[in-house]
Amino acid sequence: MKAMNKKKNLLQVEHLSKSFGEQEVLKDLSFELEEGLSVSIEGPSGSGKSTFLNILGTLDLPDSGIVLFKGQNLALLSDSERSVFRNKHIGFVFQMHHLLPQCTVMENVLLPALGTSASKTDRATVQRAREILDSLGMTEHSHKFPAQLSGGECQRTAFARALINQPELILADEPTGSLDQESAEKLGNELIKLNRVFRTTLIVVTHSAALAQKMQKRYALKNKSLQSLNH
Amino acid sequence: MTLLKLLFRNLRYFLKEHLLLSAGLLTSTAILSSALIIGDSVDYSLKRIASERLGETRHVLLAQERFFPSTLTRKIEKELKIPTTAVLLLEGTALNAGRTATELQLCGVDTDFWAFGKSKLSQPGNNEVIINEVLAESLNLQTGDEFLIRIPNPGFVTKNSTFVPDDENRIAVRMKVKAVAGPGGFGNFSLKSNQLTPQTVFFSLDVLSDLLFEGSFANLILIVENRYSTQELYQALQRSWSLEDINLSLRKLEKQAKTELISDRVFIEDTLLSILRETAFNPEPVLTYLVNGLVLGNKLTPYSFVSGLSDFPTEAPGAGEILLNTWLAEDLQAQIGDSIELEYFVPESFRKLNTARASFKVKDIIPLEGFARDSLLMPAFEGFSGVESCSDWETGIPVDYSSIRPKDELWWSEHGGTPKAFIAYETARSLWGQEYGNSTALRFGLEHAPQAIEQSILNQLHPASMGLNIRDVKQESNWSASNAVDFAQLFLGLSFFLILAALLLSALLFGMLLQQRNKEQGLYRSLGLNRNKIYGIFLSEALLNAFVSSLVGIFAGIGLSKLLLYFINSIWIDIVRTSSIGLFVHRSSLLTGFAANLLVAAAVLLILLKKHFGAAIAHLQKNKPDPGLQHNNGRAWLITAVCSGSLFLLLWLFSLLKDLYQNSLLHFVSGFLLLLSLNALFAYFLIKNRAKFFNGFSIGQLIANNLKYNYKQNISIAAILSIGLFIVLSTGAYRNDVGRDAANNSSGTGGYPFYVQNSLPLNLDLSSAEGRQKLGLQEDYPGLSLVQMLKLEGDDASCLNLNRISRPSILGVNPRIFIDREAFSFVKSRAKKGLNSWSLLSEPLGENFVPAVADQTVITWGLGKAVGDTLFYLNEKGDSIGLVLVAGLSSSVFQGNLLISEANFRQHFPSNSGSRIMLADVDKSKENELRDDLNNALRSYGVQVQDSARRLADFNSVTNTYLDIFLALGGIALILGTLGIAIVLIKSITARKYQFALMQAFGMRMSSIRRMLIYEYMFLILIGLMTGLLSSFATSAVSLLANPAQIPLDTIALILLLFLLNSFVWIYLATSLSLKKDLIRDLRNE
Repeated sequence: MKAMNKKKNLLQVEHLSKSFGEQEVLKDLSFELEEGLSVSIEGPSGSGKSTFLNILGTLDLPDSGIVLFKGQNLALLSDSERSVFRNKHIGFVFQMHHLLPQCTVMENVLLPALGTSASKTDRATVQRAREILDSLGMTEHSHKFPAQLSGGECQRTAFARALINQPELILADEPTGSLDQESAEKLGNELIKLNRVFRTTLIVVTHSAALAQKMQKRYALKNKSLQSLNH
Repeated sequence: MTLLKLLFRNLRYFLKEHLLLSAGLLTSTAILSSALIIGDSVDYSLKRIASERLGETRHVLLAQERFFPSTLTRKIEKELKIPTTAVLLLEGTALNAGRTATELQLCGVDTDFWAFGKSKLSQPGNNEVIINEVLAESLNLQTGDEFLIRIPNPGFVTKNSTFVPDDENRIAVRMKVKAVAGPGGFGNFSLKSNQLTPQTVFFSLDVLSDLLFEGSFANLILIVENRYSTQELYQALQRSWSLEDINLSLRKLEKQAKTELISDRVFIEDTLLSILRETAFNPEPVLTYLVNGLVLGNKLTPYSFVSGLSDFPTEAPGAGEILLNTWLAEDLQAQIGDSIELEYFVPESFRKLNTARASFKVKDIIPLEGFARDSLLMPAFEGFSGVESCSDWETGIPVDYSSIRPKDELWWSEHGGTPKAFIAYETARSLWGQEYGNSTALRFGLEHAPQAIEQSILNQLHPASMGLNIRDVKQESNWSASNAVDFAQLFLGLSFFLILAALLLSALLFGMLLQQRNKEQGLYRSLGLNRNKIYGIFLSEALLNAFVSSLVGIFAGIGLSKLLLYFINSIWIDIVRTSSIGLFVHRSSLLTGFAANLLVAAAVLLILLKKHFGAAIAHLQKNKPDPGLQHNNGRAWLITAVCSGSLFLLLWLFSLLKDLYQNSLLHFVSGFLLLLSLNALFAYFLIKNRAKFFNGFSIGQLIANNLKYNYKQNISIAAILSIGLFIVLSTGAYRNDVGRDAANNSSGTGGYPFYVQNSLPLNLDLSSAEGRQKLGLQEDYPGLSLVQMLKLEGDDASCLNLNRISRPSILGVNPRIFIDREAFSFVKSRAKKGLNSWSLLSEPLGENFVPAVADQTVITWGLGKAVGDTLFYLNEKGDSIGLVLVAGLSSSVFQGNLLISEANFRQHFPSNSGSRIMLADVDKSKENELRDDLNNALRSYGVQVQDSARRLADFNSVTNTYLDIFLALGGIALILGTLGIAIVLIKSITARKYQFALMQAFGMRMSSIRRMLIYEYMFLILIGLMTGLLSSFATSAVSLLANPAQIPLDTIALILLLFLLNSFVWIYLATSLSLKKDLIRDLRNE
């Protein structure tokens, strides 16, 4: 880990603990992540992967320990500051794509751009959405509704949506979990491509070894703490 | 596991959703059933009231403006062999401890009377009366109390007769209350088809009769339930009656060698003369009249009787010729061939006397012997007959006693009323003939036996021609009650939009339930369950719900009916005017309510289910919407909008061209069409909403997408709201403030501030200073105008009476007064352009056809007729006369009556005397003074001086109460609408929680999400508001623009403000409660 210190750290997690009632999920977990890297976190079901991801994305708060994002302690942010933080810096991709069925692909992608204060997207954002969709091969689907898309297309739309605000960190929770093998493979490649093209740091929680292998670094969440799988 | 078990599991699992759906369906059944039950209850109550007021009575023999000996009832009873009883029925007033009861029904009854009502009460004694509960309450009387009763003294001779004394035509007696009769004690006895019980005093027939006549007289006979037809009863009457029953008598005049037929009424009806002229009895009619003076040059002989004879022993005078007796010739120093002038009074309405003159040439001077000495030629004029001295005359005409000379007194003491001059009968008839009779006696030669004459008269005379009418009152009252205001229809009409709103809400809830269970449906299908089987599961659930809801709904309907009846008998009493409308539930109504609602509900649910089952299995399984939505171009909605919009326009133009813009049915049908059109248009724009060239994304676009995505739900909400608002606003638009223009002559008051009614007829001409002075009115009223009207009693055809009326009261008016004043206005008229519709009353329509006007509302609703239709009455001579409705008045103080010209009234109802209704106007500064003066002067006549605007407002209170009910129902529809929004909002938030969590994850603040939702649903509210507002204004536009002052802008603004506030509160509460702060947890948990 120390070897990575040459580069600037995007994330720094120290002595992180989290319990749900009696059940301790994370214990004294520490972790650092450089900008632009792609990282996978593996582990059995219930090991705390998603909890860890949620804490990184400020969707949840730790019981103890700190999470520093570019040196900023996220625990010190208020609820509305966390909203602004998420909107500006984080992109989420979930196992279920959660696209709004009432909106087209383009509108779904632009949704985070409405973010915290803007009531209308600007031209630049629309242009960026087009580019992202183009890079994901979704241009021809941009005016379609989610009901008219395949599962893979929906998930690609969700990726595009995660990228629209040019976040520095994308947190993907089982992004290929609901896809068939072929689609999952294709989507995995696109994730890596996006990571490279947009220089966005990527943390992927997955059960899929195939997807994990595409990442620059692999971690496993075992015994409530992270263990590197890169040897 | 069985399908049945699965069905119950589903019901149990989705219990909350089914309960909500059930609430909607239950509401519609309850409203539907309650409308039918209200109808049953009013119908039943009216029939019960009718039965209580008539008891065992089937037919009545009613004498019009005349009295017969009460013994007639025994004769009829003997002939028919069924119980009958005589009643003396009059109208009076009563006073007790400062309280006055006017329009009081006075009944002199016999012992048998009480058996007709199965009453256990016994006959009141000499100084006792029995009163009914209504009067007891009104005058605060109890058994044993004493109170004052004013009774009219009608007499046999009509008060219209010139010589009848006009004073002392009423007497006052103090009586003790023996008992208070309730409905069971026949206390509600009345012949009038009205749900209101008149205030009644029951005297012993003999006691009341003795106060007014010598002997026992009556004017009504009740005939018990029987199988006779009216015709058979008339025949029985003709077999049993005698001359005395029609106030006639035959006497033998030995000296004159004649048999003479005379009447207690003085003047003998022309019908008799016509009948007898057809026989061999050869009647000789006599008409004797008092002339004020006979003038020759400067000579005057005052106050002398002149006889018109048809049979002269000497040469008969021709037209324009006169025979003078020697006394008169000497007094006037007249010679044969001289021209003398007769001056006499001609009576007009309200005993107004006009002086007329006629010139005659003296044909002969005859000695004072034979027929010239016949003192019996003078009829028994009250005030003259039996009076010894001229100074003792008590007559109805103004007598100038100073002109009476000693020689006149001497003549009177020697010869009494022996005529001093003679003219031909036909001439006398043309000068002094009266509508109620043209002879004072009929004479026959002694060769004709009196019995033969009597028999001939009785055999040939129809009782109706002598004012004796037999009516099947039981049938009439049943007809009136059966054809009464249909409250079931009325309430169904009033509730239609509410039922529609409830069904829409149910459809909305069911649609949401189906949507919620998309996955389940997909699962059943993917598990290989037969499509029909799945359909069966859902259908069974829906039908079971509809069945149970409809079943429970009818019981809720009974409860709702009880509540509505409570309101009808209390705060909405204006529409029934009685608190005796009881609950009556007819099984068939319950069944109809249940079946109708079940059918409609099943049809609605079935359609929804069928549409829903069209979705592809894959979409259902993934709970995805059918992509078909994206291809829906909304054409069907556009077609619906255009079609219903066009129909609305057509209907609107039709109502404008046909002057039907006040027709409420048309209003609501066109309103429904416009509502449908606007809501369909909204649906179309929701569906079509899509930016063709994508230039970005906004919160507004997101809201629009949300609205489109659930467009059926959203349209339903907007529709329910617009319906509720339409009802509420239309109610406001139709609410009429009659006081606003009451001072205008063209308004319903005619510009007269007072409407005066007196229970006892007033036989004074108040247009003359003399009449006013006689009554005791002050003289110095600037701008005083008193318009007296004659009244023929009938049923009240105003909206205050629930019964259907066929014979309303008739008022005789002088149309000239209203023409000159340009008073009142007409909604419909057969008058040519430029002609005042009042002038139609004076137009001849042919024999026995009389033009009449009435309030248009009375014509339409009270009578079920239209302008141009004819109502038939029997006039005083027993002839059928047709009252042709020539115009319909805009809502006026005359509501409930038919109006004909005074001239026609006097022609057909000549015995009807005195004014009972009066309109009064005076300079504004003197209004209070005049009111007090009229109250004092007419106190003994049982006067009610009513503010005309107040009277109009009373009539309008019925309409306004219906509007109150409509408003209440509209309010419920609005509550349903906002409740629907709240439910849909909560459901929608639950269904979309991941969306909101995701938005939160993207950094959208909770307040922004909440705001977005509030905007989304407030937009729906605004659409509902605009649609309801537009529909209401467009449908009422013509009537409102005709009278812009009538637009209650303040009320409308208040309603809208309350509506918006109420909606906002619901939306805010639903959003706040449903949008949990930690939505992200759901996302995390996933």
